Amino acid sequence: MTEKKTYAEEYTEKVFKGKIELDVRDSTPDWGPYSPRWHPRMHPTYSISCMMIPGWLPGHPTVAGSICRQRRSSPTTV
Amino acid sequence: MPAAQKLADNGLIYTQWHTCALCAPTRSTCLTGRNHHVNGFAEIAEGANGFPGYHARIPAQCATIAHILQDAGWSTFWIGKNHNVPEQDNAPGGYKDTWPLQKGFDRFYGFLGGETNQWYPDLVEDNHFIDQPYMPEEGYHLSKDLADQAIRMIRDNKASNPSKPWYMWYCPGANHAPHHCPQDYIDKDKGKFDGGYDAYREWVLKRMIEKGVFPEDTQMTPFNPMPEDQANPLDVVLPWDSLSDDQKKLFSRMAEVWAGASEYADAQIERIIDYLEESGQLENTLVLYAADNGTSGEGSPNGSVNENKFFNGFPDDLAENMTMLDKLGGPDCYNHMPTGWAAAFSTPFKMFKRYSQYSGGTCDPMIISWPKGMKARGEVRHQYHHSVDVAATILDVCGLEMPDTYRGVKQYPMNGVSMAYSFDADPDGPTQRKHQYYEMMGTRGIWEDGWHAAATHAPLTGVGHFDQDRWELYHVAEDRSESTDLADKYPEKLEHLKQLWMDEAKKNLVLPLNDWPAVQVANIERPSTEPPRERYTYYPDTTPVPEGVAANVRGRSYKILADVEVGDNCSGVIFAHGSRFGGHSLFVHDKKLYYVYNFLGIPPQQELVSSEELKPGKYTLGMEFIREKAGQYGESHGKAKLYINDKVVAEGPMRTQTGKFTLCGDGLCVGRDSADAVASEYTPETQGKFTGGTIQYVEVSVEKEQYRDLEREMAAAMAVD
Repeated sequence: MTEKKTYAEEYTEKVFKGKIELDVRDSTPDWGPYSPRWHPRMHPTYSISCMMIPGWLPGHPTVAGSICRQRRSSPTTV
Repeated sequence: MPAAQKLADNGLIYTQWHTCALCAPTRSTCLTGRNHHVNGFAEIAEGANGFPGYHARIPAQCATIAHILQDAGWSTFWIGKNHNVPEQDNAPGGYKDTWPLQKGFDRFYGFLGGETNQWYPDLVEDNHFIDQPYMPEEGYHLSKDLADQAIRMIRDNKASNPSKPWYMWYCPGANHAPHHCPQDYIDKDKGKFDGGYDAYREWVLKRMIEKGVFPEDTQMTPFNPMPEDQANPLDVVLPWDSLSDDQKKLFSRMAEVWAGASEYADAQIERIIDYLEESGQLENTLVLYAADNGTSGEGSPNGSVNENKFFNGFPDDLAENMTMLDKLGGPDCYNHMPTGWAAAFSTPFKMFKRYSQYSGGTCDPMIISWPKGMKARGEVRHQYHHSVDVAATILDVCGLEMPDTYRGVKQYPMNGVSMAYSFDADPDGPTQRKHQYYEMMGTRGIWEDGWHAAATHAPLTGVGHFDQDRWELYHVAEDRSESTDLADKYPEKLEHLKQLWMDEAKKNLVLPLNDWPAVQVANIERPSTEPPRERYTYYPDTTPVPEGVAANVRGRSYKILADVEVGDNCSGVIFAHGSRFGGHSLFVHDKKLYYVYNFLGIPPQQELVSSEELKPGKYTLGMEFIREKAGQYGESHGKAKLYINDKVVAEGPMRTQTGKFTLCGDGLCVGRDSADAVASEYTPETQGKFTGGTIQYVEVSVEKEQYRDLEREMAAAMAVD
């Protein structure tokens, strides 16, 4: 009689693409399901300055400005 | 042990409570209530491998009890050791999805790795690294600091939200190595271990029988029970009678230091218990006081003044160790006691930490106190349980359950069962546990209904051939110390347990088995969001870069080059990584350029000093190590050169480590040397801060191919056939 698989076994069979034997020497790892989230390459970095004054900071050189409590309509923050 | 005694007098001692035989795996079971392989923690984070049970990244399918308690209205605090964060994420810029604040905890104060220097710890507060608040000269010790922080967190909660319950996961760095301890606590146990570990075993077993921890007929097991073809030489116990007078003196002192460190940590916990009592919170606080593995045998047969030698596969030297006799426990040592004491402090069982097939690795102290929730005071409970039962017990007591789905993720069912039924049960009443498998570094065991099967395979040996392992059988319901092998008498019972082990292994993601030596495990290639590169650039005024993600100079040639503007009276550290127990540092001292490579803390420190003084001006300062060959223990031997601009100003032979500088902490720095100091020319108190000039940046170039101990790796690989 085959015992019902655990959810951990079922899920692992879906995601793990390596090979598992009794001995690690006969097995093949697959780090795919167990790797950290990969950040996108060459993606811009963001910084948002949140000031406690109404109005815009002109000419801020490197960041997109978002002004807290500002009352005028503002452009989309990039 | 005042806190332990107080809690035991006010509650219960469990005599058959078990762990996974190693720290991080056990801790993962306490956090999630799932078996350690299901958590991905087959072993410590530094031993991670790309298999379902080995990746060291607690999956979303294993919500923690902190998640559940936090959502149910508890404040959740984590103090002290973590070790459940993948090594590559133990970094200021690393992914933090496995850090405590993302695992259900409101607050964290402690260290993320497996151990840390108790005098100069590697500290994280919440989601960021911090420097220690004050120095040892001002009374600092990590155990004390952790208790202070614990009391502060609870007091803050009490002050602002007095009706809100809290949950604290409190994990002191002691009595894990390094055994660092204030001198007055070392002195308290002076002479108590002079009789040796054989005599101690006899004394302590008798005492435990008197206290009702073990039955009267409990038999002592032998030191060195592993067969010769399986035994790990680093885990052998030297007979006390065979030791020289110097060895006895050294070994006794190491035990005194360990005992002192244990009692000091316990005394700090007593301060927390006292605070709870004074503030009227102790009555309705469920306190679980436990160890996470058997006593540690990483000190090797001779003990060590620097535990990092074990992880570098480098032997200790008795003559060198004797010179440190009076410094054990202090900042000059990173000491660990010999295997004889590890076995003795696991009396009456066989072996110690890492050996999951024997109770010496797995059967650990557990005290539970809850004055309002249990009638028993000062009693023992013999019900068989495991660390995976802790989470289920807490949820049970709090009237909560692990949900089927948590934050949209279907959950792996909990493996543990609640121990709450045992609080007011008969001391010898039946356990609600059915069975429990064990596996650690290739060692295997399984318990079911009072019987225990154990495979005679040692960890970290590279022996392989698991299909040929011999199994032993013990009836632990009657033979608690696993002294009499009944394998020949009950072969069918043994076959049943072996099959049960395999069934449990499949269910719990245990395979494949891995008994690789420590150095080989440490050098497994693991994915990182920062791919390996040959050139690393570092800047001043940054948080130390942990070793797991820093430039890897192990087993290869490398260069360190810094663009520096030198002014009048310029001095201090340009680049440093590691500590006095292993590390390297490029610095200016007495107007000269120095490069120190401290090889596992073995004196004298290797040093290159410029023949000429640095006058004010802009320079490229640096060094180069050219690796030539491997030494007897895999260490690298070669030639080092010191440069001022393109001129060689000093050169000489040098050896470098094959393993890491530390398991945790003392990261790579520019412009200072954080935590403990690499070189004796400056002190940890000043951190060798660079003054009188400007460091633009430091570039570390490493040879692409890392030289590895191929002989050892090949030997392990050949073990397959």
